[in-house]
Amino acid sequence: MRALLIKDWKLLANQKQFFMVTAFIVFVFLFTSNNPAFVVSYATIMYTVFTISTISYDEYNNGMAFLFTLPVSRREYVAEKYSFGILSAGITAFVVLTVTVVVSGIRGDMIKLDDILIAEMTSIMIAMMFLSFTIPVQLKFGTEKGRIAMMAVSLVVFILIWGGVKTMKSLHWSVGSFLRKLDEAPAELFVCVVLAVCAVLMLVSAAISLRVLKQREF
Amino acid sequence: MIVLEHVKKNYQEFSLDCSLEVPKGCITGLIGRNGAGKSTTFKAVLGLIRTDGGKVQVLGKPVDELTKADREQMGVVLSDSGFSEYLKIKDLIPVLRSMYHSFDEGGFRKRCERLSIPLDKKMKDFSTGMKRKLQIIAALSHDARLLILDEPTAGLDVVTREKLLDMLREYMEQEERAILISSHISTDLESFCDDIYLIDEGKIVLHEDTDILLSSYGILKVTPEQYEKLDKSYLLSKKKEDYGYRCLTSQKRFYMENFPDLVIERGGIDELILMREREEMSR
Repeated sequence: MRALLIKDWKLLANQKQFFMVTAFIVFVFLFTSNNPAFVVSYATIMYTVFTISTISYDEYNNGMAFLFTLPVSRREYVAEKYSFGILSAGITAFVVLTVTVVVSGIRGDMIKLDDILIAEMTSIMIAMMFLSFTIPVQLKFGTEKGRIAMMAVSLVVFILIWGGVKTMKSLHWSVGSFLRKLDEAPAELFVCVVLAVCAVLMLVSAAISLRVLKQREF
Repeated sequence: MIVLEHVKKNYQEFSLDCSLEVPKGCITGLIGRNGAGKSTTFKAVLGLIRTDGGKVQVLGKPVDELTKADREQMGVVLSDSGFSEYLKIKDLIPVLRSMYHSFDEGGFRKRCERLSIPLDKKMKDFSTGMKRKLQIIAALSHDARLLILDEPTAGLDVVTREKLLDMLREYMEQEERAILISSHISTDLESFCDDIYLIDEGKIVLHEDTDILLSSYGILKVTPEQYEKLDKSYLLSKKKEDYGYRCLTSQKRFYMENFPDLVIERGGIDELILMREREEMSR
């Protein structure tokens, strides 16, 4: 897996423009807004989503066929993509959080670390959810058809959420009070729940991705 | 090193049913027209497609049981695919280093220099020839026992082709190695392969040692009158031409000795492909 991680890191390093523009936006927001939570969320999601781009780069010009003639198994490939996503999210979260705390310290701003941590965990969860939906779709349909498939998946997710809210209402459960309870929960509990949800989502997604890739012909 | 026994793959308008063998120490060529089934055969050997029947064994194992260590023993060139083109070669080196235990970085860099492959340029900006050269260099860089080369010389000029074939000849100087190669450039295969398989419409229609192919096969150009008198025992196929018939034989000497008036040309790979009209084959 190390070779694949190096490859994806090199692919990332070759996208300097994307890197620089995102970093520039992060710094502009850090220095001009009083919303560090937004900054950490933005950076984490943007850099994690790059994992999907690495699949597009692998597929460019039928490159995936050649990749699987090398000492790379399909299982290893799938494991690497999720690992790369988790690593990207973790490293970005750590770096941006550190920078945010340092910059806020320099500016003398009072920051609520709990709020930033919750924002960071939420954005990691969003990024992981995004990867969990997009990686299997991308592997199944490829870059072009994957876009259309992603729209269909988004529609299904939207219908599921809408249906969930409707069901909650019909059972006289208030969405508002549920969210308030969530907000009142201790940060540690929130972090644990987020990590557990992410882990389950990614495991299920990885199993689907592996099945998809094993079925695929090149 | 490679054994294919009635490997089947069915597509909507094409079916493969291929048997071939590449023994140790052998360079085996696979030839055929576009769409004859060469690339499908290569994909079956490499486990890139699921077959519908038959047996594919590579390095003594069913292809779907090949481990990472087995894959390290293989070097591959594919005609329609390659390394991730958003990488530069200098990015590829650490990838190959951690992918192959026996990666010879010095040799790899030296060959890149010898064949004028820039290390600091994205591969998507490479010409077809440069991409091909890179794949061959990479395949030769990790002490592989088996090379599987689909159209490795396509898009290369004659000088580069010769340099690469020399590298491959040098590779074969060590025992226990083998190459399966396909090429549209018949002269490359004629001077390089020990034996040749001809594939047509998904089936192997001829297998012959290259020496025999070049020394014993020939094209007879005969008028209708000459054709009537001709002993047809050793004719493999015939094709109607303006002057009469163009016939392929595997016993050129027989016709030279017994029919001295005939026009007899050398039979090479190109002639085999040209003559290989399935419905006209007599066996």
